[in-house]
Amino acid sequence: MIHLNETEAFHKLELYFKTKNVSKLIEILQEACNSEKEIDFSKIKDLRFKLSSCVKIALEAGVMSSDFSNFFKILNLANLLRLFRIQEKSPPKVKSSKIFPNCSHLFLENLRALFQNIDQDFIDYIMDDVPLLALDLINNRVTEFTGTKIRIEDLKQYVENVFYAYTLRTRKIANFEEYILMFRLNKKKHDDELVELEINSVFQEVFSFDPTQHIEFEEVHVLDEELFETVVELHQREKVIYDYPIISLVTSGGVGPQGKGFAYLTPLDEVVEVCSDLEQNKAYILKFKEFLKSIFLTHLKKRLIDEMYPTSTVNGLIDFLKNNLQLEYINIEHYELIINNIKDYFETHGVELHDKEKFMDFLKTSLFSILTFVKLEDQFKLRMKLIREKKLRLSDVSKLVSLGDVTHHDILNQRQFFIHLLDRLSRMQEE
Amino acid sequence: MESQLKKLIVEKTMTVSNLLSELGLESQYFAVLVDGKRVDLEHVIDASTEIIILPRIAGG
Repeated sequence: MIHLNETEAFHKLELYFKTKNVSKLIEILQEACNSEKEIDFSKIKDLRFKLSSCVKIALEAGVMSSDFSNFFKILNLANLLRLFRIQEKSPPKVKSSKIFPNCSHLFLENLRALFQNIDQDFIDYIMDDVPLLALDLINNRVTEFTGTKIRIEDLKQYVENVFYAYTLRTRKIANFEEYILMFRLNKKKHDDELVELEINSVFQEVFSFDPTQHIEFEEVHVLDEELFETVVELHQREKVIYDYPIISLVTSGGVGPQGKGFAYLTPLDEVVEVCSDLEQNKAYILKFKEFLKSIFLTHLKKRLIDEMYPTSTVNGLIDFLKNNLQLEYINIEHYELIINNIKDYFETHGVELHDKEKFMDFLKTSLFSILTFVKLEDQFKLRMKLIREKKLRLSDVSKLVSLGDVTHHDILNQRQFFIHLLDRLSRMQEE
Repeated sequence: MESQLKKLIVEKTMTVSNLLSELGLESQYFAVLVDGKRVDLEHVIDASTEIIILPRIAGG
């Protein structure tokens, strides 16, 4: 806990509002959140207006850089500090959520997922003020390729079809009902555990040289049939599923750099794919293998000590294995070579094993586990198995796939936020 | 290979960061869910907390 001085905090806040320094503003708001002394923000004149200027800048920067983290951070901190409380005396407001009963529940759940504890003032700010900030930005921009004014319906179509942020790409594959139909008609056996589905579809890239052009895509999805049927049943029962259950792994033609991705069911009844990158994944798998290696060496050392081998033999073998198992350079292809090297080591150093066959079996099994090649499909299968065993939930997978700190769950929630925001904007324009 | 699951009981109150350190895991390579939610590394856990740790899968 820190102790934030109110006068100093106000001075800094005014400076950052004036200079529109969003990063510094976020820092001071974060400090205020962590401070043990409550700051009375209502003393700041025109706080809502000043905050809105920075929210708009953060949104614009997000649009330019495809990084919306500051936009969501400001909103989140302002919500935590209850900065959107109406301070000025104003005519009684009709609550926005009552005006639009059709979209409000989905939007509210989305806001809860993004900002946790939200109050009516925050909801009103999102429903009434943020769309106008967005509209201001939209009105001041033209499309990159055709130079024409941006239409809200095109923007919504773009977000639905090809939303891109933090270098994560998404693609709407189909509505869930369409996906179920494709599954029923075209599924075929992939292997003993998974079924396969080939999807040929089109989408319209509205912001391109030819906005009328439809772009075809062909993807191969693999699914766990039992779990897919669970999602279908759940969907029939609940109608809306809010927490993005996993649907499939896209093994080819997908939006990732090597055509890989994961597809999830959204609360808007769409199946949406988010990309996955094999190169980045290799780094994660390597770290996991290093973890296995450390467990193996600890276990081996304990076993050797328990079996009363001389200390020099124990330390010598452990050092030999540490040096020979450089996992960034070796893989399962080196398995036989490593085993032969270990046998040579025993012979050269005159190591007499107590139960040679049993000991070598232990070494072979452990090394095979460490060196074996792990495919993305294996990782998908493991997660499906854990879900069947009820050790993981269908909704957990999107939270466990990430690029840096941004998970698939985050990107899906943010995508949905912008869809709702554009919906809200369309409705406000219709009024 | 990945199917090596281990059940651990957290015997004392500690942070997620402490737990990862004890297990020799780096947070940027391993994803942690606490009671089904993502939490920050300073989140406090105890014996009643359900924790899932899996190697991360890379988003695009």
